[in-house]
Amino acid sequence: MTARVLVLGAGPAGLSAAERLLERGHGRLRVHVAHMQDVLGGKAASWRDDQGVLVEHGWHMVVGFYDRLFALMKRAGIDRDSALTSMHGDSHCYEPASNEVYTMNSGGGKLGVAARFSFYQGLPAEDRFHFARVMTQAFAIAGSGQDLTRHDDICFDTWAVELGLRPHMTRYALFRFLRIAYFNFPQQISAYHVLQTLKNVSTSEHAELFVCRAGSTESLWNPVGDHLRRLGATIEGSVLATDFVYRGDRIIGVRVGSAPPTGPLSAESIDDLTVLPGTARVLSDFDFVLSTLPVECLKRMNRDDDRMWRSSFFRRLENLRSVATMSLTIVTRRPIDPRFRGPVHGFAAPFTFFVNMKPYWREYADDEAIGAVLVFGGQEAGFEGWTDQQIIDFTLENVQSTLGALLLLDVVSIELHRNDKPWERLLLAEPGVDQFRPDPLTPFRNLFLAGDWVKNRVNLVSMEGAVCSGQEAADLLLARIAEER
Amino acid sequence: MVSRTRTFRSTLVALLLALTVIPTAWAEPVDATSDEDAAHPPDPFVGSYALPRERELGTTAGQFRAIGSAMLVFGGSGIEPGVHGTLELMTFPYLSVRGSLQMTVAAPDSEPLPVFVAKTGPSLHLLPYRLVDLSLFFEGGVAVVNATKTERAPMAVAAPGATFEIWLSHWAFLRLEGHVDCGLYTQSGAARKYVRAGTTFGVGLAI
Repeated sequence: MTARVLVLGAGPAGLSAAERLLERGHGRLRVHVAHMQDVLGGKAASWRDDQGVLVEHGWHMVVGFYDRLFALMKRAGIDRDSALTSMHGDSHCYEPASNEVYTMNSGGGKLGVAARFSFYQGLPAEDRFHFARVMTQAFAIAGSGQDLTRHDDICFDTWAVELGLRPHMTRYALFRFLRIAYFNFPQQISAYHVLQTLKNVSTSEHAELFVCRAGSTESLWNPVGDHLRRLGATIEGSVLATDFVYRGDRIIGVRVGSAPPTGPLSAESIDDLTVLPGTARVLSDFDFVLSTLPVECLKRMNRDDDRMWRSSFFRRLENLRSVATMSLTIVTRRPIDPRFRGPVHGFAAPFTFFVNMKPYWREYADDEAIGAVLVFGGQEAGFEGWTDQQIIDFTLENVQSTLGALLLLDVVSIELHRNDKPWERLLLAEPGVDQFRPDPLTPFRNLFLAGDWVKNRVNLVSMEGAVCSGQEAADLLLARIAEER
Repeated sequence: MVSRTRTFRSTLVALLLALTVIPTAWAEPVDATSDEDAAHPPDPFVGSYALPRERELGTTAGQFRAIGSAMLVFGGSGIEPGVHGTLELMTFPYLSVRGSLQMTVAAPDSEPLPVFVAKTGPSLHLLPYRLVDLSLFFEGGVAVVNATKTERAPMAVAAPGATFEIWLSHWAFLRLEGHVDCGLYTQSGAARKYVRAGTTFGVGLAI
């Protein structure tokens, strides 16, 4: 007997879940993937505008420890070397105290960690050795094999001070980077989330940063989608799920409709889960549902259903908060300092880091008319009431001291995107959040959850976390099918 | 009369000027970013980036400290001077392991003399991360009484004590310590009690 599975969402979690179901379902599964956007990739998608220019609603990087993603790419037939390019292990840190940018390289493996911090010129010598000692201890704790979740109820700043870090050092941009990396700044980040990261990036190979040569959808998700179709999946875009229909402990239908155009290229944007008039329908051609919808979307489903949202499982989800990431792309005619090969972080919010993508994006690499493609990243907290122009002006002022007068770089174009819609927001990895992250199993026997916000072995807000979560939820679903048979 | 009136008027004008112009000159300059015409509102997180002055002082976890002190021992033979050194490793903000070496340099007629003591034990710090710290410790170890004489004798010692620290910077502090060394030793076949209160005062360095 063939089991029918409806996968909601086509981001890294949805695509990896569908692939795992088809790979391990041995031809006895029918998998249908329904997602709301017109491109694959979910929050990790990219687009092309009318002129064919690459548009991402946020900068995406692939880190060396993304083993599950690399394996998925391999199975999908993606040549890693042509899809991704390394950023040479470099990252740069702007220290406002000295008004200088310092470079760090991720080379050196485990033994290099202390040395890297010890030789970081952005700190006075005594702080440098102190920082090296504390971070070496943090790496040792992260790699000790102990259950790191017990460090979740405290922010990393306080955790490090309790380990002996001198409190003023938490203000260095080098230290703030750990919050910036997960779009947590200006909020705090859970010590568990940082330790889990340190555990994963303890070797230089695992800490290496990669970027897609042609945008993540073209480089990664479209080939994975083709792979899924070859395996027998059907994929349907522009489907917006608004509610579950259930009877007892089973989902018997999903209310959906056609999604209005979304993403950074859509002229009109919607703020909530609103389907186009006259398109509402109920999907019921399934036995199981694997939802990879972002947490803010799930929180909006069945909103009027007190019975569902008063249950202990769903009520806990109310405690999960999210952040609206933002991206700003500035294309200039004149180049910037060529030593900035990796992310440059340490700037004032909202855009706390930037990357010059000119050498990495295929379309710009050989374009002599373009000097730099500066992609800034950050989050919106504290700037919700600012206009786009105010944010752009503020950001240009902030980076002028580092790059020189940015306007002298001869700006070709500036694009700002606020990813503040429910389907665009990221889980905020704040202290104490882990206890509220749900398991893939839900009170509904045929509903499974996945996404980087759902508990999984990687447990980091990242593409790797999403891929891992999708695969684990698929495994549980396969076990449930076997059990019910 | 005219000149007197002019003088009065000049004085009055000067006084009025002083009352109006000088306070204006003393006023804080207007922040340009608070101007309504500014390109953007003020940075809501401006306080998050400035590196604060290194205010933090005192005992912290992970510190390794070395303290060298002058010592006075109050005992049966009056006040005996000595030297005292301590190495201390802070394992947690409140708890450390310390080891001490001390040597009394007693007067020739004091009894016993001089005494060399090596002790180690835990210490509880009551006020970490502060300008002033108090700690309680309990050390145990060995001593050699009459260390420079032929009738020298070994002795086990136990020494409870307390310290008071004032931090001068994040790496230097002054320490006042009080302890009591208690032990029993044998001299000329007879067991003798050794109880000496000691106080030390010295400088500590922390890394």
